[in-house]
Amino acid sequence: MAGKAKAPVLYITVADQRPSGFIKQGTENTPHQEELTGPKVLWIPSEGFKARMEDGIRYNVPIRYIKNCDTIDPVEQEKRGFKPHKTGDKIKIENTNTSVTREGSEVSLYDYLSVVYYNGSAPNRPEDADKLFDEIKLDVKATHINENEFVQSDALQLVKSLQTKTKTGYIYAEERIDAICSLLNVPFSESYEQKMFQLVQRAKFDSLNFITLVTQFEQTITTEVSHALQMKVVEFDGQSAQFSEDKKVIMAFQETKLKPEQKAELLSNFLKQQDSAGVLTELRAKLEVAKNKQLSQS
Amino acid sequence: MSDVQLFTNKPKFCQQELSTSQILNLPFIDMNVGAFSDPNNFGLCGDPTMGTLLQKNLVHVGIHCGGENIDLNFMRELFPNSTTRVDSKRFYNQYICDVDLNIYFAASAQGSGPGVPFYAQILKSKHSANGTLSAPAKGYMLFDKNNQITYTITNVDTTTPFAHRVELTPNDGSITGSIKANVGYLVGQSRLVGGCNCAIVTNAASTIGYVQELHPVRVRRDWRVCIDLLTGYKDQFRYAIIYDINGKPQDAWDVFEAMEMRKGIQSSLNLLSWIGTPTTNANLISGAGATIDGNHTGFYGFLPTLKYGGGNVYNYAPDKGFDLEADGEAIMLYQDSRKKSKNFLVLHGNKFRMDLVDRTNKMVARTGVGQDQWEAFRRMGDLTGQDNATAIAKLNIDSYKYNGHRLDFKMVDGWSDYRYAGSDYFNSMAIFLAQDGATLNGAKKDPIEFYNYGKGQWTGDYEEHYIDFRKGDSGCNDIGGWAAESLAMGVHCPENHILINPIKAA
Repeated sequence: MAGKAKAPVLYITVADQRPSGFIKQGTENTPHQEELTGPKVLWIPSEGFKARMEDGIRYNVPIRYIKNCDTIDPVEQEKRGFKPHKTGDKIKIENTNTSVTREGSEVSLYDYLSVVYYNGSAPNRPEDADKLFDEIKLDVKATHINENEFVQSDALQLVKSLQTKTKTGYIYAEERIDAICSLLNVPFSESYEQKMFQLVQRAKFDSLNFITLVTQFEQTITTEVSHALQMKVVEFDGQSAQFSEDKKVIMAFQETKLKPEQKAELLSNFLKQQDSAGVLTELRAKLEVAKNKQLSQS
Repeated sequence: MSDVQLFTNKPKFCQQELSTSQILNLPFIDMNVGAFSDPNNFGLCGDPTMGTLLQKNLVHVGIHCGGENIDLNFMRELFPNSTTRVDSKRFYNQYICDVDLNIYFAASAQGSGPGVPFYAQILKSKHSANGTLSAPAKGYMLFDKNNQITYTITNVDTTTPFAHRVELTPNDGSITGSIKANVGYLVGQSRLVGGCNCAIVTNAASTIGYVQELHPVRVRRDWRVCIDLLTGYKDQFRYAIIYDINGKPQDAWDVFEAMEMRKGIQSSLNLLSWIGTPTTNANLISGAGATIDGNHTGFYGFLPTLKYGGGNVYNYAPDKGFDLEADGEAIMLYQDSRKKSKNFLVLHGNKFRMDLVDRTNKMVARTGVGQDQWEAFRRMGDLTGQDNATAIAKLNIDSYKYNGHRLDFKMVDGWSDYRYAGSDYFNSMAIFLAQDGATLNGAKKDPIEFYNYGKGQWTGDYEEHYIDFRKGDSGCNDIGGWAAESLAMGVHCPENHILINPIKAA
């Protein structure tokens, strides 16, 4: 059995909203701080214009809202004998938001508000007409909010991966942390706890950029190290990693019995640090030469 | 008055007290106008902007062609004698406004049958104390005013801040309860009890009001001129003359740059009071090159406060004009529904006034046809005791009484002065400023209050300093000076006032 069709609802909010300094008492400096950002009452004129497009030219068509009259065409209203009422036809938005359902006595109000130029979302409205309110597309807004929440969660997960919790405290991936701090120009901190705190704030503030930059940065160097090993630009000799050509030592591994993948990871982390910029440049240059040589031979 | 030479090169000291307006509008001779544009001219003192005007033989009188003086100080002149001294650069005003005993629900709700209790969630804005308090309490009553139905609040779930849920049970067992969103329901703040009853404590929710933090702003301007500019044109060197209270001419010891400095200070403070907003850009407060500090970030001006701080904003099309009946009645009814003031000082631009008069006069003629038309004219005449045509013409809508509301009109010249703050927008604007409503401990409070900080002799009041650079380390042949003034401003209870806002419909 088909369900009953729901009457469409228009959610609108005052377009021009800005801080005012008036904070609701009891909410100051809390996550739920409420600040007045608009008028207590905004009156919308019940006469205006909508657009009619003909051959690409916009024509301004006068429209008028009269309560309980189902047409917004003033000519049609006159024909039917509807006259505007000085108070009954007034439109107001209280406390910056309201909703209008297209049924009953609000049919013409819905129709008027949907197309009048005062609506920032009205079709084909001219830019120089004053915008008094905007439509809120609830589903779109919710989706957008959800996506932001998810991206922030991913960014925080990435930061979390830089530390491992133990019984006695935390173990920090110090080289990775230093590399990311240097990449993002995080101000100097004396302890890794403080550095982690800074990274958490960055991840919350601009989650998408945080993930993009850090992931790209880490993946790039990991890939380059992998290529360098494949093309024998870099080799592991016992407890150290060195350039194959001149046997110049890049870094020494402190742990013994490391697998090649583990050595590669440590080497990547080492090269991500700011102090290793010179070595990284040298590796990239040698890798480039090796690639070109391979290309010319093939 | 005898023929008095307007300028003299025999300067005399002037000790007269001048008003702010007189100071800002002192007549002057531009000491720099005698400089030539020749870059080798010794009179330029290295500043090419001083040599752009060419003036050779000054006529002995200076003819002023600028029309009325620019009204640089209209905001503080509208609200004189209202500067409060404070001893802090950060202070707060608390507002307790619009005590509304109604609550609103976030969504409609219905009972499942007659007399059956049901839950409804309170609207977020009707909570206080960080969302932990709301007006309904267990045992209280809830009145559906429009349908005359009484409920008892049989439970209140305060688990979630800002989303309290109340259980409502209809007192009449034959009624199926129904609550609608966006409708006000009155809370009866006491319990129905039987003959024997005991205490159930339900303290009031804390007052729902607003707090506004205020910061001052400080403005400063400096000037410096080479003395040679003043001495090199002895034949043209004139001191401007002003007339004292007795009509006697006195020399005005002043340098053009100093006069401009004062105008700059006052006009900036005036504009900030009218349309300014605080500085929140961190780069301007503490970044490289920042000139202000965290204490002097400023305040919200009159117009931004009305628009964003909960004022009543009535948008209208200025091409049709504001109609006191067609437009004004709705606003008056709304204000009356909140028991706001019925006495307004209507500040307005010149165009607003002309359109209002035009529309009002035509309104009277438009009230009806034939006999009705004359009826309307007679009513106007009855009010003033004059014949009808005279009544409208003479009244010119300076003062209007409409159904118990009093409107006194005051034109603000500055709003139609396009040389300064005026524009089409302000020219067609009006503000209905409530003359009562804001009180402090029972005493009437002006709608706008200016503040300045200070302790003892050290204040943020206007200060002006004269510097003789010949005596300084640089030894330059210059004189100069600077002036500065601090100011803060608060608009009290913006929702009491109405902004008649002209808009463009297409």
